Amino acid sequence: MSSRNREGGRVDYPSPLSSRASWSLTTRLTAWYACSTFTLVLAASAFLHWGVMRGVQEGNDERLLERIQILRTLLRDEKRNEGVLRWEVETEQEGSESPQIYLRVLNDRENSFLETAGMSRLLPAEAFPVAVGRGELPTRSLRVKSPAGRSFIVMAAAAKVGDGDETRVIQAALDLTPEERLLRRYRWFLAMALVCCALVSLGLGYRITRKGMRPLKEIIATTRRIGSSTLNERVSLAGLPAELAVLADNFNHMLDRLEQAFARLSRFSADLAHELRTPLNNLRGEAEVALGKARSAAEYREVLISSLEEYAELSRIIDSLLFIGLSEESGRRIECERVNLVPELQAIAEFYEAIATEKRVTLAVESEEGLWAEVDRVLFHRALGNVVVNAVTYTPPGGAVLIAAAGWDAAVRVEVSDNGIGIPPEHLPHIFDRFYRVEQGRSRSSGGVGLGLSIVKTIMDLHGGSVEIDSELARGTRMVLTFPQIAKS
Amino acid sequence: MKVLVIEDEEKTASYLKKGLSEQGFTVDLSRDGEDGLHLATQRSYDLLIVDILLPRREGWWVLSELKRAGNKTPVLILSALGTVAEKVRGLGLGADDYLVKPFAFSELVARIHSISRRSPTRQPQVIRIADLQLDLLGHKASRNGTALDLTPKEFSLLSLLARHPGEVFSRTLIAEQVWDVNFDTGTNVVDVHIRRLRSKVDDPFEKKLIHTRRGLGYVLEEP
Repeated sequence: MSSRNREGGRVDYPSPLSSRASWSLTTRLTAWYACSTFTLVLAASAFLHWGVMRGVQEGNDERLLERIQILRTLLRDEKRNEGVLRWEVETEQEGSESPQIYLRVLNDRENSFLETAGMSRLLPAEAFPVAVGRGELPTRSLRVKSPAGRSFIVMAAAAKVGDGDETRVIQAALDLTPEERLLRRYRWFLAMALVCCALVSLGLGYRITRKGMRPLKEIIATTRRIGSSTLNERVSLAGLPAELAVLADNFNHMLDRLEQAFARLSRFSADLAHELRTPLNNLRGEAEVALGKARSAAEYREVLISSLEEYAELSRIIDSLLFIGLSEESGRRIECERVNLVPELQAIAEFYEAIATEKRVTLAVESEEGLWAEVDRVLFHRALGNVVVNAVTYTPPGGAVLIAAAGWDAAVRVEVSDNGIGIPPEHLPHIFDRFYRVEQGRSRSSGGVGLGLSIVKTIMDLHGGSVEIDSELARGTRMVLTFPQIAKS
Repeated sequence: MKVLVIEDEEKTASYLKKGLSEQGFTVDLSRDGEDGLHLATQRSYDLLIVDILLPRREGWWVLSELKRAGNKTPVLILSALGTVAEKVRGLGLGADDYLVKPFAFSELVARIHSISRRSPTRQPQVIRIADLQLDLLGHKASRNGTALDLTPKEFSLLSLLARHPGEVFSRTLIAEQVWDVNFDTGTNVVDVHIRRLRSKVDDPFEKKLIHTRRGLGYVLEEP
């Protein structure tokens, strides 16, 4: 084979990664994985944070309300409870460095007569909201900031003193500083956890994706290795996930087709070179010998005539090969028309009858009337002509060749049978191959170059039909051409 | 008859000029499409022989320019491009015939004659060559007053040759004109048909009219 020397001609294509518009699949999947994981964790953390905040706030409100309730109870009998009241308000936070809860009781004239130590400095009475009525409880606390910048939540409620109309106003505040310190720590931990989670999910996503991509990488590696000299290599399907198995399988099928086409092409060039060699050799030799010494005009004329025959042969080989080659390339269209078969077959028989008669072989046509077929007329004639010539050539004098046509299951079958010498069975599988000759040593004058039946096969392929052969030594050969899609009138 | 050959391949151009001159044509040569078109429009020719793959401008361009200019000079394409699509394209651009390389020179000559005859000249009804007489309307042939018993195909073969005495017909052209066989059969079928015709037209008579030109084809003429 001549065309095995083209390996190594690998082309470096620009890497797809270099274009900004398309990220690699690994990057994309990793990014998606990390993004979705992070979003989930972020949402969960936000919910937790909200829950904690809400819990803390509710707890704080309850603590203030509890104080307000206690003070209200004590105020109902202000005189008797004065000591307890004072103790309750002033010594609330005794012992702790900074009291958390601050309380103040205002009398009718809005004068404070009891308050937790240091409260007037932090939270003047005006910083509190209007007190709710005596029978009610404040529903929500108010958040304020002291002039010193500390945050508090505050509540105010009216309280009844004894049975009269005398009223007191209770103001309660809760210092949020220690809680905020705690929450800051909590948020910081949460943020740290989130960052860690983002990093871990990125890494994990990358690993998972890489693992998922490994079979793809293997396919890519295999495809890299395949060149014109290694077309027989295939992607292994073992262990591939279903989606990729389909891809790899299709890829392998494509390689099958490529390999076949490549083999055909190699064979084509080899055949061509081989077949052109003989006529070229004749031409060259004859010309050289003719020029070897002076000759008569008649002798030169002989040489020229002989070379003319070789030229005709060369042209025929090239035409035939191009015909087969172009058709095998596929995509070649034929122009079908509706042909009345009986007159067509008779015309063909009339043409070839000359060589049959000369060989004393009878050539007859047998067909049902009104049989029509959709065929390319020129190609139909060419295919049938080749088969008839073949039949006549291999039928000894006194024999008979019969062309018979019949409609057959939405197809037209044209049969050419002879009672000639037949073909040995071992040759039958190769009979349609290019340049295949039953007798290898047969001279060109009797057998041509062995393209006739390849052309028949090509024409039948172009028609979407088929050609079959059966033959028996010394009994004869039958060739059946089947043209699909008939319209019978 | 003046012929312009637009062909860039030296050897082809030179043998075309030689061969066609010897056939009695006046031949001009042009090496590329642009120059060829210039000549074709400046001088008046009876026929243009155009190659397709030419330097500077391709044959297609020459054809379409001629068509655009309304130039009615018959055109014969000689090209190595031989697919059906290319032939259709050539004929669609107004070419009168399309011959694929490699071709037989005798066939080229025959096709040139056939193109030049397309201009309406009345076909005679009766042809006489030596003692051969052909009645084209009555499909009857006779020699020296003796009627020849010919099949219809034999008659059309004979009349093809007799209508153009002295012209060599290649086997391919004969198969195409008489049997409508539009491909090279690679067989000697035409030879056999000629042989049979001869056995009826020439063998019984002293004077032979149908002659073989070895390697080229057949010709009918007075010896």
